[in-house]
Amino acid sequence: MRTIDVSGSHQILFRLKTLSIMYLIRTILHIFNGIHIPLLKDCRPAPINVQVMVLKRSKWIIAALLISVGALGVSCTNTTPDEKLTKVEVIKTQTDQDIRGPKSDQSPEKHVVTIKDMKYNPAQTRAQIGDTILFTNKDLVPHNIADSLTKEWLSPQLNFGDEWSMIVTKSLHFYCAYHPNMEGDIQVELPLSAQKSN
Amino acid sequence: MFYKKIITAVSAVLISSLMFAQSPKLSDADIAHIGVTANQIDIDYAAIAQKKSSNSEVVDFAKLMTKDHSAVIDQAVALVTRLGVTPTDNDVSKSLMEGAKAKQKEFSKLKGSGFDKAYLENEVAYHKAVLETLKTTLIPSAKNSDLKEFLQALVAPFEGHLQHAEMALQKIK
Repeated sequence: MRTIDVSGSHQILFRLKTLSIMYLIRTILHIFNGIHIPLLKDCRPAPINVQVMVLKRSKWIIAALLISVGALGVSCTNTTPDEKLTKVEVIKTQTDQDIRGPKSDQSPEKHVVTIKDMKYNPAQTRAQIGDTILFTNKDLVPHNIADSLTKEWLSPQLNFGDEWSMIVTKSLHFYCAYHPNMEGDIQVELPLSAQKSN
Repeated sequence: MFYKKIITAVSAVLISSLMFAQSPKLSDADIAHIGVTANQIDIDYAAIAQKKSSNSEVVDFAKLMTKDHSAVIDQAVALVTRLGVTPTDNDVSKSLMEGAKAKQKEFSKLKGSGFDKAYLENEVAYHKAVLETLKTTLIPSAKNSDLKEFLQALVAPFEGHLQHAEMALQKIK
């Protein structure tokens, strides 16, 4: 039995790294070339206070050393696991925005529907519950917004230049009660968080 | 059949009077007067329809014409006031008014479904004529860009009125 005396955690880490590399090289040579190298022959440290167990030739020791080498390698990097997770989340969010546009789950958005040339523009608006739809009449003739299902007026008469806004509570097919050919839709979509949970 | 001939004849006179606007050079003041006159004529027709008709399709359409053409006149007056243009009476406007008086006289002799049909047929013909005049004469002749833009903005609503009148006519036939 041999003993190795070291002092301080830095020396311990240094020796562990040295031993790990030695064992790796030795194992590879032994397995593939049949060359046998004596263990710990040239890395004997100077004797000091702390005693460490001598490492014997064993596959379990090799496995343990390989794990320690891996752990040392990870400890040498500057990025914490938390930082890595944060970066992944940011990338995922950017991907969602690319697909669905710059939507936010947090704050309600304002969507503008312009009435011009006897049309609602856009005719289809995708919104989330709580969003605001602002209708602006830029036609010379009056218009309004009525529920296609109930036939009830939702807005007052909107003359040229008038604006009217509503909070989205549900999907809605609407039309102009004066000019029934004018139609539009508000399509409620689930927030991103709800889509993910589904 | 007799009424149809009258309507066709009057419509032809009306259209030709509107087309007359193509030959003279029209000033912005002339165009403004023609625009207001054409809208007022349709409001007057609608007033007669609301008095004489009991058909909800016809009455609703007449109410819409009153609402829309009144709004257009309000906006036209606001525009010419802002531009400092004083609408001036002219031959085209006079011709339009004469055609309208003849039509109103014709309407006074009709009642019931005969009136309803005549009114809606005239609305179809009148809006077609006004649209044609807008596109081929008034818009190209307008010099002020705001006035030209205003006239262009009338095309879509008047096309909507034309489609609406055609649909209403189909319903009462």
